[in-house]
Amino acid sequence: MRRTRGTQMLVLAALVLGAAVASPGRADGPERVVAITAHRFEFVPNEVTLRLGEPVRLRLRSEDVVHGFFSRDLGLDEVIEPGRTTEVVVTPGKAGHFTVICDHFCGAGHGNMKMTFVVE
Amino acid sequence: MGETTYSFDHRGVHFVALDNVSRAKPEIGPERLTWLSRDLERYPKTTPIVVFTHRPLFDLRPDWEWFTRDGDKAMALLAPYQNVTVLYGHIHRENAHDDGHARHYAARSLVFAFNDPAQPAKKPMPFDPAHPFRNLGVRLVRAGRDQATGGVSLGLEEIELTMREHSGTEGFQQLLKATPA
Repeated sequence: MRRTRGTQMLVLAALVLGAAVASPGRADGPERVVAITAHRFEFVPNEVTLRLGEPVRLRLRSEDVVHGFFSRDLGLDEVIEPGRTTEVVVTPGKAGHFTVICDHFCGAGHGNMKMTFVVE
Repeated sequence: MGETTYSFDHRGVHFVALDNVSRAKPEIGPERLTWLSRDLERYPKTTPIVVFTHRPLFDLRPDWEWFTRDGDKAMALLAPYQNVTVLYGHIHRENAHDDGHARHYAARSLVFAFNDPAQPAKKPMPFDPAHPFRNLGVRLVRAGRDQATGGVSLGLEEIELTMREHSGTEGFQQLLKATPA
């Protein structure tokens, strides 16, 4: 099949666009990625510092059972399932200490499973 | 085990037991909310309604899991009714909250007590061996006719429990004997 010059340009543009979308830290999303691991009955790390107004991609994984990742103040409401990475972008809108809780019952120590975002 | 969400009527009051603790997340769930909507629509808006839940139906301290994710949906269904009271547990301490439409009350726990939600962090109250039942739930309520208003008058009295010789009915009789009428 013979491609026209216009078609070739379209293919090239699609390749360039595709590369940009697939590259983390480019125009598709925030620069910084924070990995957080959940397991009964803690998040690791249990304290993370964020900058006010700076978008951050949270990469959440569970090492055992299903956990929740909830903060009313930060607008976070995720489910972390074992064997799957959950990603969410958060942009802190105010400074302070914000507690994230596991809001998916995960066992006897569930009530104390939490972590803190410090927004500066 | 029977149904965890149900309702009944007693002397003109409609009582609703609404389960917000059996799902993995702190929520009522869409099925029970649909049930609540159908249950309530049978009643005039003036009917006194008492709702029993485990968790608070308002955001008391979401970061302590002292809330119900879809509690606002339940309260929206209850909003047309003029006399709504919600009695809940979960927080192991006394709390009264008026949202401008309904009143929400939590009583003390019978086991351990939690601290004040105005404090930064949730933690059980320290155990005092000299007063093992301090901050816990049992109190004496005296009810009588209020001569001035003609209504019912309630009096709350603190009871400092002690370890008793017997449990159950015999222990309760011992408690009553120790409390002057």
